[in-house]
Amino acid sequence: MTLKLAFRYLMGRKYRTALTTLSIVFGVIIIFGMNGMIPAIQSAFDQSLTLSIHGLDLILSHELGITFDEERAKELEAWEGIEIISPVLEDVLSLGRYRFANNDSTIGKISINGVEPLTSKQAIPLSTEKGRWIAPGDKNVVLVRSSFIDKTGYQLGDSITLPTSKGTKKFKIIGVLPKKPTIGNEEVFMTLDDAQELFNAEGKISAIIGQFSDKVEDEEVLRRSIKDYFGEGYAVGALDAGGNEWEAIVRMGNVIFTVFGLVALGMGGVIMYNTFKISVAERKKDIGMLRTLGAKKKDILQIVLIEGLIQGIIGTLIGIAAGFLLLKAMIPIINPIWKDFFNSELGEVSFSIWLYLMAVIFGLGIPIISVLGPARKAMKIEALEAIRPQVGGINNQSFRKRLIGGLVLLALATITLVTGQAYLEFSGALLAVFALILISPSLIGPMTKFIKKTISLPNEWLIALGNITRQSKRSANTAVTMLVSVAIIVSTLGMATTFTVGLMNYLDKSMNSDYLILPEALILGSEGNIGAGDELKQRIERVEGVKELTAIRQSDAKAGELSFSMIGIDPKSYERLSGLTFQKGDEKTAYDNLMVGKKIIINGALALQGSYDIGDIITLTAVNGLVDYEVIGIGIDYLNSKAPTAYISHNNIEEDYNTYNNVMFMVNRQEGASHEATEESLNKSLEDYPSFSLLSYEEWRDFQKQGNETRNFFMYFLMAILAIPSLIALANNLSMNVIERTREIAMLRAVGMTKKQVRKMILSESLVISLMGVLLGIIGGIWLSYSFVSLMNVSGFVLEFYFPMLGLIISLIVGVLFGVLAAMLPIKRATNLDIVEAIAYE
Amino acid sequence: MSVRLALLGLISKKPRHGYDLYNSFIALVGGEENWAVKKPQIYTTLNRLLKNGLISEESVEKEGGPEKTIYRITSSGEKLLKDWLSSATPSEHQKDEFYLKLMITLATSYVDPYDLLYKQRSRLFKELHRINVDKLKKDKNKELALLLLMEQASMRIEADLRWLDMVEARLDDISSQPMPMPEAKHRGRPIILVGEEEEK
Amino acid sequence: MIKVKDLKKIYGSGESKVTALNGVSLSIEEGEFVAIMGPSGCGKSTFLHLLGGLQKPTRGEIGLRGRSLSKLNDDEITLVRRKEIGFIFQFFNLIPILNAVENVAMPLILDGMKTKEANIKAKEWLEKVGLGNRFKHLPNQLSGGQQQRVAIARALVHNPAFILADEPTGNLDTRSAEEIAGLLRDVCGKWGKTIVMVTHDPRMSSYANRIVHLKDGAIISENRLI
Repeated sequence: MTLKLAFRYLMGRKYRTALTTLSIVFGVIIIFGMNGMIPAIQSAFDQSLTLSIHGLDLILSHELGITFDEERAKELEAWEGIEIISPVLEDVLSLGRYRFANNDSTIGKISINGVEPLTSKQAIPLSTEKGRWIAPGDKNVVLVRSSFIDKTGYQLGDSITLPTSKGTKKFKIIGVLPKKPTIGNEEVFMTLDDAQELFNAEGKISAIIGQFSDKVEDEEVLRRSIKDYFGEGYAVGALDAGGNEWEAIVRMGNVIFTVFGLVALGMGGVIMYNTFKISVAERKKDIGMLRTLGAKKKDILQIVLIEGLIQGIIGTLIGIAAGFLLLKAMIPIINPIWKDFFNSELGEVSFSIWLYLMAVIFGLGIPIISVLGPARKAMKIEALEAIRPQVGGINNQSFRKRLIGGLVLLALATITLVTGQAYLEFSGALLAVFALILISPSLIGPMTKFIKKTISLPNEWLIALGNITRQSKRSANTAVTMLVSVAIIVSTLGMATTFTVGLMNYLDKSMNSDYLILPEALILGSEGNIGAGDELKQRIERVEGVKELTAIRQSDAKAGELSFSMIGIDPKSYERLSGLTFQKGDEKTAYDNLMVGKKIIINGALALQGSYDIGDIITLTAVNGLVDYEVIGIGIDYLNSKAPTAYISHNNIEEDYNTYNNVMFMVNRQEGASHEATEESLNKSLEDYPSFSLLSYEEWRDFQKQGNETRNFFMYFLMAILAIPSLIALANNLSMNVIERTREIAMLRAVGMTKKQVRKMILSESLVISLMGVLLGIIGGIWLSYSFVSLMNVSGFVLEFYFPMLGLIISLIVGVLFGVLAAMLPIKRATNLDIVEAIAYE
Repeated sequence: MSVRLALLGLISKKPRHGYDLYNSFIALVGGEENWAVKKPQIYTTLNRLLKNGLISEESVEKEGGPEKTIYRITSSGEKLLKDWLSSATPSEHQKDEFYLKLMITLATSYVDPYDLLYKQRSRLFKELHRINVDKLKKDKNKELALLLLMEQASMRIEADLRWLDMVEARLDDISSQPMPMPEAKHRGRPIILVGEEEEK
Repeated sequence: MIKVKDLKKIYGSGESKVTALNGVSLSIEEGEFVAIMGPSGCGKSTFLHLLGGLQKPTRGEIGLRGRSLSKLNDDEITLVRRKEIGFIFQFFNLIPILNAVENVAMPLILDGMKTKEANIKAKEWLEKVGLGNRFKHLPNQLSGGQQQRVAIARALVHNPAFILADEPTGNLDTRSAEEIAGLLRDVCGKWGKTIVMVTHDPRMSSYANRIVHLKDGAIISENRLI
């Protein structure tokens, strides 16, 4: 019965029910749909990280994916239980200009497997479909997968051109292997020697693979003993180099999506709370009647809760379904873009049981929690309410407690501004927003009075202002939904502006080079940057018009459980051409000191995550075990400002990370040399290095700006997601307002208010309320973004706060627009009102 | 007076004898309890009508029964009837016995005026109860005329009851005011506002 | 039997104190049809609310079939209402989203009866009050008199001993009021319920068998009409 009643009540208010349910749908879509994307992304990363040869008993590699001496493979040859052992150099090669392009597919990256001819035939359980396996004495030959043949149109016996660290080289296809079992990079097999040359890794390998003899009883034990023998930093199993870092990013994405979903759901909760509060107030009489008929308090509580639950269930179901469909529809659209960026394919979207559970818990939990208050209020309605004549009086609610609370919070928030402590400031900003919410009802009265005094308004506006004042709490609630969304808009735009303007300024300050030579994938640390040995460096040095250059190397690094990026620099030239912005430590001596012994400069992000300071010793997992480095400075460069990063000398990165390749060059022109000529000769010198591109500083700067805008776009997207529920809330609250006053409006109509005037009245009400929300939201938003920027600064990424003028303008436009939009339905309702019926009611 | 004219009307519908006339009248008013008319009163009235030439008399012999006198309306009777019917009827609400009792009670204080009031109310309620409950038993598809008559009675009692409520609410005020006294200059008949036609 | 002893109800406190009932004692036999009359503000509605356990008296005793209402908590009083009392109000107070049958069935369903069974009973009672052809109508599709009939059916459906009616015809035209009055007499006479009805309408109260007059929170007179 309670179920039936709940259903009927919901159905009796279809429009309102739909609106509130929609808000739940929204939150669930975000939580469910967006998080469903994560496994797809994860699988995309996994693909490029996992060696796709199955059936291997042993894969031994370094945790960081760095290379090590090929001699070490020999140590395992005589190991008991091992039948065959084979060294492998595996890395991803970015093809750059030499990408294989066909009508419908491109291959921009391939995974190179350099194998030892003799042992690999035994060790790798792969048989050729056509042609033959690599034999001793082979040079410049490759084996490819049949899928590669299908995609590129190359045939057995054809030659393919690949970029190497010493220029391009042709390789002959001598064999075709079965199609790759997993999606991911195409695999190409070649001799170990060729691969070492290609990657400029003389005598180095990245993995040892092998098969155990049949006599081995427990393979796991054997694997563990091998791992223990190799010591710190080595891992047995699939290659998981850099996996941790990606995992952290993916996890972060997870958290962000969930938080956004929760905020959206929270908004939904507020909407539901308001709706039910009104609905309970409207139903006072019905509830009173039920009580006189013998319904217990518990029964009443149940009815209201079930109503909330029904909406939660419907909202969650629709949200899950919509999230699912949305994602399915989105993947084909995103995939090409994704492929372009990361050279790996997005996996299947998958929804774990946890995701369903989370969607259900929040999708049902938040409605129930938000309905609980109104339901308890309903429970307290006495039977007598059914009989008492309803007297509609002016709501002389007192907001004194709220006002005082709000003012106290506001004062506290202001105090935090003086402390200069970013964390305090940020919590202060949150307090301030909360304080504004608390204060808002008390502001209604003075505000309407002020408007009345300052502007001479038409009568409809005056009536509207009167309505707003009489319903201070309702109006304030409506304004608060606007406040929250405007605060979000302003703070997002504030941060976006700050980032864009700040980064560009920062870039201009810290970059002193005229040209940058760098791989396509601009992010340092992304795999596939084959880099180039010092040959290229020398070649560039010899180019006419080049004054000087500095080369940058990169490796993944780990200190304990903390993963970060290690940059190898040549301190002398780096200082002149790029330079770090120091936050701590002596800039003058730091570069010199970097040359001597194990010294390290870390950036703010790393200092924060590892809580390191100058003089601290960091123990790094290096190729030969653990190495201690002393921190001599904390500074940042633009490229690596956001990710934890450390800087050491070229010597040290060679020694401890086996990294000989340069991934980026910064070049300065000689004074007087012509720009065009220098650029042309530089391009010429790069011809054999297709993975590198030359960019003038200006070009590069534009590119960065674009990238930044893409990032901002993502922010705007999330912002929109949050703004839409607030429109729903606004429309919802406003229409409640009108519904509640049906009789009053009918009276006004009866005594001669025209439809046009009704329209004007409601519209002006809506506008005043939403503009008030906008004004408060702007205050809160600026406060929030300011403190957020301060918080960012603490993480070692120092930016000046820029005032989001654009945000203000947009907010004002949005405020007016939302105000008008939200007024539409109530206006329709009020103007279509049957006067006689409305007055006759009761 | 109105009984006389009503009888005249009944005779005008159909010539009839005295007993029939009595029964028809009682049926019309819904029973003796509503309008107590004695049979001799009917005959006296008939005689007066005869004397005034408003009806005529004829004897009819019933088969096997005694001879009965049948009355028939005359043309002057018809004229009088038409005159009566085409004029409005004055109401008769001023001559209220309870009002007199109450005033005298207030003047003499032999009994408690409230007691008097409550007693009156109790009586009126009993009458109202009887009429209303009676009314429920009537069939409105056949006895509408009667129902309307009862409705009238019930409404009058209701009005009286409401008036009693009003009196009760103001009783203390009335007793504090002087009784209505004849005006010093004016002598003669008390003023009667309406309904002064008297039956003599 | 209802036995009320020295019932007192005071609203508010201090300056704004209002005495609604000031020591009312009354006993009502089962099967009686009692009208409580009095000018507005005499405390007659309060009296009814106290009888129905909708409010608690400030002082005094209400005995319902030998059980003292003042000793019961909210849930227990709710149960008494559910089992033994049927309410009829001036504004009918039907649940607008439920149809006639569902409205009538409500007390039974609240008492745990299966919906099907409850609906059968509800239909029976609707037929008894003369609405055999209006089962599926929503309250707003019924006339005032019809709505009140539904309300009466609802008040009777769970077979309570006592019917408490608060100005049951206050919102009806004379004709409908008359019909409701007749129906109430049936409720008492034919179906043997005890009715306590509050009204300020002398016509309505004349249908009762006893009239109790209240004034300023106290009984001033009582009349037996038969």
